[in-house]
Amino acid sequence: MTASIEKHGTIIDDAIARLLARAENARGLAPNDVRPRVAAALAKYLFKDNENATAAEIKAFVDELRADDLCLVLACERGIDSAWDELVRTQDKTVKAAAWKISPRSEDADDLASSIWAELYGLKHDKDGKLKSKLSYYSGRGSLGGWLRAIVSQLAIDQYRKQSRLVQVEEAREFENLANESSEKTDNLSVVAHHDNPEDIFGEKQLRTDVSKALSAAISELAPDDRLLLKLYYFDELKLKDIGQMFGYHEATASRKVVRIQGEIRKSVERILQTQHHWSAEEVKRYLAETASKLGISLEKLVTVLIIGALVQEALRGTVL
Amino acid sequence: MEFEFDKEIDAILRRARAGEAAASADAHLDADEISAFAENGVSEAARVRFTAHLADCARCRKILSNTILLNSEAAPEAASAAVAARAAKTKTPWYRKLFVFPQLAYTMGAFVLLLSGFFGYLIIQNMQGANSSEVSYSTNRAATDRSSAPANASSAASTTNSSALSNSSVATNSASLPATSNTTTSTTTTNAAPLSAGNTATAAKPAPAEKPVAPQLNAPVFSPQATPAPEADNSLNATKNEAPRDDLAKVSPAAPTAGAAQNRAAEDKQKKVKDLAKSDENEAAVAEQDFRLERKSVPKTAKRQQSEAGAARSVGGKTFNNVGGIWFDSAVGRQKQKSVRRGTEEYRKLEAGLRSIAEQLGGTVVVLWNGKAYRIE
Repeated sequence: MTASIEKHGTIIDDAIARLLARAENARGLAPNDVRPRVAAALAKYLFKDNENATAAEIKAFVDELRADDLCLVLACERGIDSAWDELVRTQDKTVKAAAWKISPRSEDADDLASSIWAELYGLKHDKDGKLKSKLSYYSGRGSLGGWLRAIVSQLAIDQYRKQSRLVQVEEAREFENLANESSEKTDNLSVVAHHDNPEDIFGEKQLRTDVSKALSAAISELAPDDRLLLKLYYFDELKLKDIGQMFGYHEATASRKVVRIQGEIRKSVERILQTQHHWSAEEVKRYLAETASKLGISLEKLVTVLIIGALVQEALRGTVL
Repeated sequence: MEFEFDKEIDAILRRARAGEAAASADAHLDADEISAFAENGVSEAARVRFTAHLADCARCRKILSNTILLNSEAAPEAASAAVAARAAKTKTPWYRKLFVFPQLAYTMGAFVLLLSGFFGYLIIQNMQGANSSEVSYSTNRAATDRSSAPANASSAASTTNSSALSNSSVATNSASLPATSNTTTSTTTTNAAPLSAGNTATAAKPAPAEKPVAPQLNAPVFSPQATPAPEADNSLNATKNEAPRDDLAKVSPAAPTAGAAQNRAAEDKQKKVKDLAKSDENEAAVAEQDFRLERKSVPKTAKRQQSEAGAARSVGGKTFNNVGGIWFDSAVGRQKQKSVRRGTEEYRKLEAGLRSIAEQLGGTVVVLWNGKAYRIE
């Protein structure tokens, strides 16, 4: 990658000159001040996947960088007070809004926002004695606001993972209590079912296990794009509009993709259940229909339980990670 | 679109969230990569790589989904902030400020006050309008009287004319003068009604209607054979309550045969002229001119009627003999006569009955009234 950068040195310099020229406020930065950051971005986003990137691709890449945001961040790294003032003035609201959105409690949100600003300013020193700021990771490829939101989200999830390791036992117990409480109601049998007959309990559990495995296998067989779309839609409950925007296509296209993926999953699940778990076609059809109908009812009535369950699963994943 | 979903698989997939597989073995994406991916700001090759990781890494995918969620919620806020900034920069017109609370409340209050004030003004105007309409009505009546004054004259003249015309075929008491029969008198009286009706009709007409009247006054209304006789008792009774006239008497003291109608017209004319003199000089001038025109016609008849000496009339229960152009009450003896001239203050102080006799007869009248003899000239 270093070779590629040296190879296209002139093109990169020209692109940097244009970047500084199109910035509304270059903040007194020289091309050499910007060049290392641009080179790192090229290596990270372009040359890592394509070392033989053309001059046009390099030019287009640099031209797509957020010149103003990048200059502001670089100026902050250089310790320019006016740049810091502007950064705080323009982005503090973004950081706090993101923190308040992610953190359910106000004190946690304030702590999270303070932590973000501390990391942006830099708490540690590198080997040269300079403060190591999170700003050094900003490439200018995305907007500064989006990057700050990602920082907030990243820090919140990491903090949650650390805390979840401590509270997971308690939450699991809480979830178990809620599940037992809900299962005592006759209309909640589908999700947390109690059967008097042990054979029925075992049989139901075996069916579930088979379906879960088949479903996991079917999802894993999907293409990464489809898998990510599926998870963002079903697991993270994002809107198709936002998902499509992220992928660069329309909401309707995202909807069509979801329908297509559903069909692929059904085929895969049926196939896996029949081939690997020796279900008959009639059993597959009946079980999927029964499960879906029961889940449809239960999901509406036990949304609280499912949310708690998702939190527990998230906590469990934290232990794995 | 949701309708086309495979609901069975949809429900199962939603439940499968709880059993999601754990993390990917690859290195996690940093915030810069995730934010760039969320904004579709990475190359195709990088997007494939990131997608492969995100599809299997719950942590990075969660950061991604949170970032997407925050970005989508921040976009409307940013847009609204930009709109608010533009709105703050934009100067709000004063009239739009009136419709913003709490100015709207004050505006509505002021509007209610204005409205109530307006209605109050209308009510007051209506009340005053009723009064002013009465005033206007009176004014119209006055104007009507004014405008009808020449018309009265002309009507009187025409009435006299018509009666004279009708009299022309009637036998006369006198050889020189055509006698006025009851028929003639009744004709005159009958014509008096249309006269008043004519007045009424004239009252509805504007003042310029007076102008066509003038030529009628100039018309030769008194033909030698059509002069009405002064003995029209009914006519005298009809005009008994008429306003006093003296100018006409001055003009034609020896012309009692000018007739009650003519006298009445002249009196009306004079009265109206006096009234008009206070309010409208021009109209008064016109009326005066009309009156003068009428006066010019009087001497002609007076000359003709001077030969009526020796005629007798009964007015107000008294019998008058015309001797040398002077009406003598038959009851007058050798009493000392008190001379009174028409139009004077002394004349106005006379009793109405006496003045009525003097007016009806015209000219110089010597009458015995309450034991006193008056010579009214």
